[in-house]
Amino acid sequence: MAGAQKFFTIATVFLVVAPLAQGLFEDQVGMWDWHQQYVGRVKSAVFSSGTQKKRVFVATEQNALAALNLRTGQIAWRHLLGEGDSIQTLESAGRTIITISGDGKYVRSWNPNDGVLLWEVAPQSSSKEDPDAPVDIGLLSFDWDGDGANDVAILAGNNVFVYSALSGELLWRTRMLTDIRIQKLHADPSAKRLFAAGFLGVEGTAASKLAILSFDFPSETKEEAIHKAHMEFEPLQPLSTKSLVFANGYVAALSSDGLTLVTHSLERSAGFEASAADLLPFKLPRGGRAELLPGVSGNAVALSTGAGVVLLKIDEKTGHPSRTAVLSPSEGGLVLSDSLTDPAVVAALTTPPGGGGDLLSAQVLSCESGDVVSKSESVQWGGNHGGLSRVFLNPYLKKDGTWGYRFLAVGGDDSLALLQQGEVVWAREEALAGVVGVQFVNLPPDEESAVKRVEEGIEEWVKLQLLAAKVTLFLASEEEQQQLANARKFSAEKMKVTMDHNGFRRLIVVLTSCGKVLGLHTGDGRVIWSTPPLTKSPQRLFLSRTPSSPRTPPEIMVLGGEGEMIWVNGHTGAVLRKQSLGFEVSQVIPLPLKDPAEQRLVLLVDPEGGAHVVPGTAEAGALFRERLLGKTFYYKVDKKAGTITGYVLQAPDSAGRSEGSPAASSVELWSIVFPKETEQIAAVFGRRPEESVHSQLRMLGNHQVLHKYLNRNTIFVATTTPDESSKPVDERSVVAYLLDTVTGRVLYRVTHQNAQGPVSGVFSENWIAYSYFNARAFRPEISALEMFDESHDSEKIDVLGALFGGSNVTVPVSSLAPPPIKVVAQSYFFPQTVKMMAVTLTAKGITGKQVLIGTSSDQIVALDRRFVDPRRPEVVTPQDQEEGLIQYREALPFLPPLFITHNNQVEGLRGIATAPARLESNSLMFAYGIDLYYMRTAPSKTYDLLTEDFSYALLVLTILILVGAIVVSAAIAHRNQLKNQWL
Amino acid sequence: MKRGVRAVCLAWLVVVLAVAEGAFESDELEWEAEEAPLPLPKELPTATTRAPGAAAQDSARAAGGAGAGDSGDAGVVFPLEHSLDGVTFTPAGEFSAKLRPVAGQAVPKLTRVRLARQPWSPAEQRAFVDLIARNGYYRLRVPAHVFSAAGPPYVVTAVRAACLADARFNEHFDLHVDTAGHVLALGYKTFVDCTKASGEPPREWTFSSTATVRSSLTAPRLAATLSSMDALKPPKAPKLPPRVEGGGSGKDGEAAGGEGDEEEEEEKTFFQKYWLYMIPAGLLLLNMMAAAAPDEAAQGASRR
Repeated sequence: MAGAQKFFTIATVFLVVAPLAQGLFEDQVGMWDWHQQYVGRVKSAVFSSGTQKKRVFVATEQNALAALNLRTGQIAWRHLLGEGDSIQTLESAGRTIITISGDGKYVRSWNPNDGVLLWEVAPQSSSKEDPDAPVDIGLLSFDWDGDGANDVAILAGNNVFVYSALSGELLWRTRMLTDIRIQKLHADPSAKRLFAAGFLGVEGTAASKLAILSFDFPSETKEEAIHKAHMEFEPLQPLSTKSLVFANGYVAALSSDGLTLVTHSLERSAGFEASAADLLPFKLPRGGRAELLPGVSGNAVALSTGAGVVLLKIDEKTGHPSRTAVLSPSEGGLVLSDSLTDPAVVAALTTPPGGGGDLLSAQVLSCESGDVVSKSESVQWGGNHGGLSRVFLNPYLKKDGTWGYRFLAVGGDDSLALLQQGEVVWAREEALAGVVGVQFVNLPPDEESAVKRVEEGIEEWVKLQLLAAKVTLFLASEEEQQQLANARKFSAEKMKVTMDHNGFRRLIVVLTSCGKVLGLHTGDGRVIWSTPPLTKSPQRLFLSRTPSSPRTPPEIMVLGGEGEMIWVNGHTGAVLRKQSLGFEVSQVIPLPLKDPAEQRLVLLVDPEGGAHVVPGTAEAGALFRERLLGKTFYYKVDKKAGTITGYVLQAPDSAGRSEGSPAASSVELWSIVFPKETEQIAAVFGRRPEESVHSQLRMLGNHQVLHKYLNRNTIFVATTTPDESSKPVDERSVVAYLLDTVTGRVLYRVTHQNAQGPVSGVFSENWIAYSYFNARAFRPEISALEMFDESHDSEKIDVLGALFGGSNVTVPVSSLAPPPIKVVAQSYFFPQTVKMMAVTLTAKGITGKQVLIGTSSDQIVALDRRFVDPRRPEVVTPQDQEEGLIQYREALPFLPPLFITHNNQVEGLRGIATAPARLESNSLMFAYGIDLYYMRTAPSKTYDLLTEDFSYALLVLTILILVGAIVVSAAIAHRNQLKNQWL
Repeated sequence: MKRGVRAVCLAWLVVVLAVAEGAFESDELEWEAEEAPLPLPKELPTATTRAPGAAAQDSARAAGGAGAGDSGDAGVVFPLEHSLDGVTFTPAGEFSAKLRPVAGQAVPKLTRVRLARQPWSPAEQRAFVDLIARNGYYRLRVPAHVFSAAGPPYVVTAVRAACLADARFNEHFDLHVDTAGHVLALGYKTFVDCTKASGEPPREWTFSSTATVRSSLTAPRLAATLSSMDALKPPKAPKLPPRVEGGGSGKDGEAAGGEGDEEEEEEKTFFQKYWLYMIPAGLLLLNMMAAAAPDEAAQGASRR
């Protein structure tokens, strides 16, 4: 008995695991998936110098540090620093790359060739002295400790540190700089001297005095630098602490009213004030302020005003500024690079008027004279970039001995382009590193006639089939195998920008953090269309129109800040119309209604609780009033206050209806208050409205049924103990709630003792899987809940009754008449911390489901839902086997083939979007972080589809051989029979 | 060790089943002694003599004996407020609860909650009829911190006025409390289907109110049978935890002792020992053959 039991359980587990394995053969890589790597919005860049590999090192706002190949733009190496560890300063110190990150918390040195971390130091003591203190790197031009490499000076936490660039050893530090707020460091290249400039008497953004410190580093004493000079200068006007630059032996700062430029010599006690108004070529607009551009130094400073940029040369002897060049902006804006000292130039990129933003004009100006050193007119760099945001300049020696210049331009849409010799060498669509919203959109149908399509494709198809047959029969050479793999990977069929029968070819429309909307092809992830940045603070992306005719393009609505709405054509990316509501949208409620023009109705709730119907047509308003007014409920989560409040939308009180007045007003119905001392809201999620459920029943092994509780108004809420890390393990807990959002009723509540956040999870059909960290066992756990409706338990399911509507099963579930519910729960250990969870979605919901678990290592594990089924039995009975239940184990399986990201990492994973294919067995999965990853999964295998590598040719060949064999053998048999009969 | 594990698992299973059973509060009214409903005396003097808000102020203080019952247990009284116009809340009655000290917890547990409803004044009755006519919501609230002042925050609940009228003022409150005695949520039930409200004004104005205190279930702790190393290792799919080997772990007595199992294994035949690996190998073989399956399938078909 025991043996049989064991056999069954083992067999079940094996049979369940075996089909789950998503493992691939080598030649299948890239057939159903693609992976794209990005770096994000570049905020600083340095170029490799001298004999190093030709690279550009970039630090981005997504906390990535990367090296890009200067010739191709490909990522040579990349590191993603953790959250709160954003890179402030990036410098190339000869053989290493130095970064300061986390508000001066860490100084790191990286190997430029392979990105290996060479050393890391934390200059500030654990107690952060001043979190807002500026940080800076000063590259010393001498080798103080004599280890063969020039040392680096670091400004962090209002102290100056000198480190060995090779080992990271601390050579010297300042200790007494409390009253001075040091802003910048400047190493004198000719002498062994370091200057630190800052402000005294700082109040907010204004300061009363300019302060300059200088340090000498005598080669005799290796321990102590000599604090040589300390100078202060008090100008008439208070100074702005925003910016301070070193130029030509002077420190320059601007007064806080932006009208006076103050310079002070580094060596001598000589200050100078000049009214900026005198220096500017044109009158400043009223209230307009000049700003000192931080990057420009050398022997000039740059002042930016609303109307342009002025380059000012600082006189070496007197410190007087004199105007050298004036740059006026164009419609697309003007950006200035950081200046270089050798040669002393600065680059300015503009988009010339009339170019429509498609053209760029780059010029390099001499800081000395303001003359244009190099100029390239109108570089074509494509549209939709939304202007320029930054430029980085890199000079190189040309073959003829003169200077050439290349520019790394960052567009307003975060895109990156390298310009050299008047053309774009490469471009990267870095907007895709900041995806904030995803929608899957159908492609237009194929306009060609079916016959023509077949005629065109037939030759290639036959060729491919023959090749496939050869490979199967092991007759193909390695090249041919490769050819086949490539042909499959990039088959014309897969790459078409038209709808396919199986629903695999679709557009992934993404909204990015810069407000740009892009349409990506599911075949290979290429950009089919893109828009310029549409809004400053993008919030959400909707499918606002899903027409019944596939020829009519779907419409996508982008919601921005201040209730800005932009509609985009889903097939072409064309902006259709714009509208602004003029208020901050606090809640978005998509309605299950369509107006006569097939526009999906959406309710936008303003901060006062008024709900506005979008589209704002009279028909849409009437439709809403007629169908859903008084029946629409929504809830608001206030994580700060720890409350969840439910509202109903009712007819507004105001009798005088005016244009733009809300269609409904909110009435508070219920509120739940989590005690602030013990619980804080960690996660709130509900079911996805588009999910289709195949069956309301769950068939048991003993031919009984359980009724799923499928109320769409159910949400899951999890709370954790506030600042749990400071509390003992015994006082930490995670509480999971199931709430009804119409009545505010608590359906279920369970406490996980000794558990802590982060909590993440997924809600699908009638079940929930959620994860948290077990602080006692020191392992992450996943718990599963499943809800069953018990009101039908006494009823017998009657086939005839169900057929003729006599059964109670057809009665809709209502929150207002709640049935008794049974909740089943179970917990499991999971070996990795869970970042997020999602679930596969199929067209009809018949196919089994996979829980997609984004792990802390930025990979995605596809776990069959049967493993997180709370009904897994301790002892498997034959009935359980019939139902397909797997025996309970504390640990969930964690096998390499379960990783649907294979060997890729979706760096900085932020979200997983799933969508159904038209074919029931397949689900589309798109994961985004800094990287993008797309994969087609078949949770229950492709039972309704022959695989792409199915060899038709082999099938035909076999049949032909068999037919031949039959004919021949029949002939032989006939002859033999005849022969026998003669005997 | 194994037996201990088994016992823990068993205990866990029992708890899971218990969770499954008691997971959701049934609609059925439980007439237990502890949660006994308090029928409202019909001849209660109308509250006209009471200043509005007096109930709230009176009961706001956590009474360490002020609202105590005869049993000598400490008690607490807190107000229930209602709103008939959707804006202002007025006292509607008061909850009284006994406090039972819980070992190891600083805050006592609320038990035996009763609700004493204030009879409605004619003005309130009119407002309620009006509310039914408008198909509006009758809202109720209690302070979230019942031990401290009766001020905000409040937990709020609501019901369609018509639905309450149809239920003839039969109502039931679920006070969801945490271990510190805070009320997190207020569950409200009228024992009728609120989807089909008649909209007729009520004939009688007597309440029949019951209340229950609901506290959180505690999830069973996972039996840490696996060392953390085991959990990190990818478990081989067919390998099962030892507790399964004894067969029906539900009947611990029958199963042979854990140690006995290991000795037995030595006597097994080659197949018995390695079938674990042979079956996967066999399946793998089948899988590989399936790749070339079309030939065979076609062969079979054409022969027939």
